[in-house]
Amino acid sequence: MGSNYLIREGIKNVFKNKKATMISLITMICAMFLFGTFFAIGENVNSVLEQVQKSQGIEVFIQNEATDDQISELETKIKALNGVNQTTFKSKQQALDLMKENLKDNQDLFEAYEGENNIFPASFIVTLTDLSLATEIEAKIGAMDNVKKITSNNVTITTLMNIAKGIRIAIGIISVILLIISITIIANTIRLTVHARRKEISIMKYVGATNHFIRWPFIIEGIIIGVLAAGITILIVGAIYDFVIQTIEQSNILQIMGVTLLQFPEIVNLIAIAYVILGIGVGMIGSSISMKKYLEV
Amino acid sequence: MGVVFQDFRLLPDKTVYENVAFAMYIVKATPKHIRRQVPMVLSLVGLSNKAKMYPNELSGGEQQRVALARALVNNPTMIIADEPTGNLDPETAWDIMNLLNEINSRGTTVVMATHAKDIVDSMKKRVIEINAGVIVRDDKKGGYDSGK
Repeated sequence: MGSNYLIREGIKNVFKNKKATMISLITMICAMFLFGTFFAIGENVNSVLEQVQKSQGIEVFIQNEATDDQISELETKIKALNGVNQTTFKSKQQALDLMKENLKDNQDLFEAYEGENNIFPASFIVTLTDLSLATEIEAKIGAMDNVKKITSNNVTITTLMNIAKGIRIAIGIISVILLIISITIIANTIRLTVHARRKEISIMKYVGATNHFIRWPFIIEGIIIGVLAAGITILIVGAIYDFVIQTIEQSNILQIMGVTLLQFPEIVNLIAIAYVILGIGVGMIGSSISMKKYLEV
Repeated sequence: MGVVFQDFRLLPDKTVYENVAFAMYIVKATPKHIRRQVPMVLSLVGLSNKAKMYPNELSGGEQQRVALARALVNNPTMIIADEPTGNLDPETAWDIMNLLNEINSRGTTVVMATHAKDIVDSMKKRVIEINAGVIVRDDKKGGYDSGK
């Protein structure tokens, strides 16, 4: 029952100190919004990079003499390799058709290669889950039976990996900076509200309240404001996010690049966790620390 | 032990009732006990009809009576009053003194620090004079100045 009173006091404080509540709420929403927006961008950049990396394949050409059984055996072996995402079979006929399509004006050239005379080899397009394993996987496939030749775009792969690495490091650094800014802003707001009520705190002390009796309503108030701010910010970020994603999806940039963006439900969990830690954690720790000064009467 | 201050020290955003009840919550009284005890003390100090008002809506004397109610609510054996009349006009000061006297007659020790000469002189209670932190006088029924 003692704790009931403390919780009720905390809730009452939220509504009693409307001005302080509003200021804390707005400050927290701004800080969280900043962090959340960047977080959403970062997650998307990451996701796009991963997709681009996965679409970078190596082409494994198969010996002409290989039987259907040997080909499917080869496919099983490739699929079993660590780091292989997907294998797509391209038959001799498909290879010929592709070539024909690429050289539309010279169809007569290919007549001699139809059917039995098809000189184009069948192949597997192998995509990878992790580009850093490309060299290793190539070596392993190269050692398998019935493999004629492997082509891959090593230069593209290394460039892409370097870019991805750079972008990830940049995102990491900016995230940490934004997190520190958010924590500082929130902690400062708490300090101000506690300072504004220092007289109240000292009166409570004089009447004989214990430190924990004074502290808990403040902490509960901080938690409530933190949760409120987190909820409101998620709604705002979600609405803006959906709008931006839809706008981008309407243009055909994504199709040209062959990638898709994350939908809000896919990142909302991570954002929510970050907000809860930011809101409740900083709220609790911040109010305890800033109250310490005034509790020592 | 209850304490009364010269400047009342009431919580500004709590009503009279809540201010008094606060002292009971601190000692972890049951809600039932609180609901019974608070109105009782408020009627003792004559503020039953102002229970829902906030301190800034009350006069100085009324605020001091709230502080007194808060000091009394836990049935202390002793009340310490630090210049309880210091911020009040003489007439209101006497209201508070009469209240303290009544509380005293009900069996609560009242220790009061004051420099209100006329109050000390007419109360004729035990007077302890302290000078520079040293007790220089302790009269059973004394006045403000020694030898009176």
